[in-house]
Amino acid sequence: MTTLPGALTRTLYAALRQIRHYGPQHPAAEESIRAFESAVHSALAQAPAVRWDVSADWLIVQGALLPADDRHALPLRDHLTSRGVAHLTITAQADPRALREAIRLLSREPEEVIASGGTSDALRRAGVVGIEVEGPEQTRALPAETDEYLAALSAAAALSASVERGDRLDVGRVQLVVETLDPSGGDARALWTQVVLRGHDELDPPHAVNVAFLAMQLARGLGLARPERIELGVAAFLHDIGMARLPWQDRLAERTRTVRIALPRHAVEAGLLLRRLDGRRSLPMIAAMEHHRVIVEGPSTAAPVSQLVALADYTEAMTCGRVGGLRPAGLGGLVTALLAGEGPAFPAVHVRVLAAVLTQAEV
Amino acid sequence: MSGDREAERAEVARFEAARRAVRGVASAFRTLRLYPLHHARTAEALQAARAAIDAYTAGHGSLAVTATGQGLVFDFRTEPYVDDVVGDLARALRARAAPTVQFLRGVSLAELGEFVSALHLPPVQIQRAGGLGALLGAGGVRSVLIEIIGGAPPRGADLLEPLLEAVGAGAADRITAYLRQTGGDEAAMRELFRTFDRRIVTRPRQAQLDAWKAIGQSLAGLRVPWQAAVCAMIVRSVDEPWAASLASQWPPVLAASLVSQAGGTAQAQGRRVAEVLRTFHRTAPSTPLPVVEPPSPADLQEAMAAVAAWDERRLRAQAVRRLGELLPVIGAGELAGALAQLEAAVVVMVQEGDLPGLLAAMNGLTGAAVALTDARADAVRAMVQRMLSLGAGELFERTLTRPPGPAHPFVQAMQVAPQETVRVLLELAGDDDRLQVRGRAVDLLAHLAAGRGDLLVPHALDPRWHVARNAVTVLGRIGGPEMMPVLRAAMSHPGGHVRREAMQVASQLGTSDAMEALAEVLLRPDGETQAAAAHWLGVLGRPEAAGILIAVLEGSPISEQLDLKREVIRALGRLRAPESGDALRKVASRAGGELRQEAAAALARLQEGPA
Repeated sequence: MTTLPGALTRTLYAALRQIRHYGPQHPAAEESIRAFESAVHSALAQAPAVRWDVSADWLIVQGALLPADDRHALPLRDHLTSRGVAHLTITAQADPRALREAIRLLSREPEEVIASGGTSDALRRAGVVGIEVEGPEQTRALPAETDEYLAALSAAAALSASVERGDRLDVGRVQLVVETLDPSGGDARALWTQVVLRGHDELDPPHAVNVAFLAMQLARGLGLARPERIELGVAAFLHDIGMARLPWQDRLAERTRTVRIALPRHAVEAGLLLRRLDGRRSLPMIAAMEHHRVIVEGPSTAAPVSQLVALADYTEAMTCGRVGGLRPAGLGGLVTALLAGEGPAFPAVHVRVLAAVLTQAEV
Repeated sequence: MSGDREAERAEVARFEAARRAVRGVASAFRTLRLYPLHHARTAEALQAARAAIDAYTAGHGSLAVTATGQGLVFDFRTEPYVDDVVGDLARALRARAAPTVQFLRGVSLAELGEFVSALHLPPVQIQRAGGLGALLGAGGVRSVLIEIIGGAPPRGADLLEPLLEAVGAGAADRITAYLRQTGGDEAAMRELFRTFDRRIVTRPRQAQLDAWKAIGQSLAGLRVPWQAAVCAMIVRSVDEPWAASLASQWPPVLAASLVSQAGGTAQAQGRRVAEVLRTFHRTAPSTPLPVVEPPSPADLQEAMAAVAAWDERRLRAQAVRRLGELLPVIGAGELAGALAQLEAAVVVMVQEGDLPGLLAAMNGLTGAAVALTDARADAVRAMVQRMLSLGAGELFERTLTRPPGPAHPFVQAMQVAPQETVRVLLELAGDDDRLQVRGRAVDLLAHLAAGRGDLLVPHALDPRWHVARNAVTVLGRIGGPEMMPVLRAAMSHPGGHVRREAMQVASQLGTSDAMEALAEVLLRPDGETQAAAAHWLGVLGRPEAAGILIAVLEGSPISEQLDLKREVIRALGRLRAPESGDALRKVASRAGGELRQEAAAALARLQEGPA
């Protein structure tokens, strides 16, 4: 019994072959196209789209891998790859004319396809709707990290490891690291390119580095002097240090997107680690203990430093994720929501400064 | 049928390739017995062995053999294989406690040389080196893996360094082999990936992606049932950063085969895999940034002023406040350190006359004293006493004056932290030995909390009677009828002082709600509270209460509950309700001396007419 992926593959290959042999007007070609249309309609009745994923080594149809010895899969694979097709998607929007046009374009000689700028462009020029062709993925190199950024990441990881071992916190060292994260001009732009990548988890070292950077950029936007920015940066860098005192499994449950209480366990642990009761030196303790309070309850009882750290933390945490699909929001969407008064009630002026800072950085 | 024959032929070809590979190794092992390692004969034998292993691994992946008493067993079939050459190798392996050997793709001549040389060493020497695997590892052998007898195979941390090295070299075979060495132990594999992730997470992003891609591709080399189990475990752990990275780097062909394997009982698992992969391949949200006018200079000025307003003192008070939140949730050891730190801060705050800071400290301590029930509570209470003796008490008392204006410290404290101000004043008012202090504190609180009765409501139910009583007193001074629910609750407080205070306040309200609440208390089985309720019903003065009072009066023999009956009679006299006359006359005719006199006095008041 032929499966649906098998039928889609067989009819597509048959249509391409018949057109190549006899031309599109021939009854044999006409019949094979009708068979393909029928298979596509059957598939679209079960799924929103029909998709072939192709490489030199395999052919996947509707998510199912066709056996290597399938007598239609092998030649179709070769046919499509030689024409630079890596993904072919057909949706319900595609009418019979679009299907015929796509088959006609795909049946051309590989040299002809390449010379005309690829099947994707040809489909677009022909006004075909509902059929998309993508070429093989071009691996785009990520921007190289600056030495300062990598050093800051290492420092964040080392700090976390030392806390896990039960060592004392070296806040002086944190200050040295944070000072490198408050540059201006070209150096700031280089840091922004790292901060906007978003491909890390909230529990990874980039989170501490990015929150410190964002908080200091907010402070710069507010017009605070450098010593105050550095104090804020240190507090921001250390805001989640309490995580290092928790078992790994507990850390997973204490990420910003899941925490619903004002004083989660990692904030308590950070408070104990950073305990200082003398004025400005207490800032890291205050910010670490208050940043979730600001997010959960609003900023009314929190120090301004905590409000800034909380905004930077929330922005960072809600837009990062190892995989794009796991990120709850993008920077643009998040800022739009905050400006509309959705989500935590950060001070409006802080949110507007955040929007201005991000716009200025052209992220 | 033709399919079966084809599979059979493939099985035979695989066995032949495996047989040649182990015979090659066994021959090299034998040759080394006769010639030194660098002799041309040995080199020739090693070369032949390597070629045979390469031929096998190119078509079938790594080759694993287990030495048994019956010969060597390959990992793809159960029947042992033995001949005179191979038998020698099998005995040597068993004698050196290394029954299972795995040859990976790309094994070098040097590695094979090290392996066969090691098999000629005395077992004791191998044992001293920590086993054949450790010996080979120390010699830089990475492509011949040994599974030891006795003791667990290397897991988790032991595999980390070899795995890092293999990933760095992009050696998919070796990565696969190391993953297999976890023995399918889910926890061990999870820990291995987690640790691995932590080691590479500070590397450049591209290097991290490459590493996960290498591992993702190596999963394709696992055998099918085990592969599905490992991938399912990864999908189950998808909340973990490493799992997201790894699953997102699966080659599409692996993803497709995982999904298509789903059938029968594995269907749900397949659906889950597909669902997770679909999530991964969703594009990241990418709304453009909104166009927003930057804040005006005036707004920025205001925001900066808000930051500047938090000076050293205010930040210290805030830190003290936060420390107060920690006190109830930390262990005894840390509590001692925190209290010592707080004491030092209190000394400075007393010297500086920093009332908000001291209030924050007092608030934190008293909150912890209530929340804690073990020895830590004693330590906190002792700290409260020390704090008051350090001069904080004098500072508080000096300021317990009715505020002349907004500069009064408690007025300012009320603006910054109203809840803790109320709480501390209630604590101070609780010192029953010094009525003057209580009176001043209650006066001050009534003034400060006017219109903010909500701040006192939670304290009216405090388990400590003096705090609850004072809260009720202040509520009585500032509150209106909307306070009735909390007064009703306070009438059930375990402390008699609180119940009586609540009844008194209710009687001052004079509403029908208050009357009903007092009437409910009148029906409780506690004689003393009932008597108080009767008294305050009389003071409240609503004639509708006469009915319930008469019911209580007549509900039991006249000679019982004399104290309660006396209060009821007095209340009936005060209420001057017309229906009270008969009830009082009955008492006057039947009761003993004291009650008869009370009834007569009440009747006399009744006859005076309405009040």
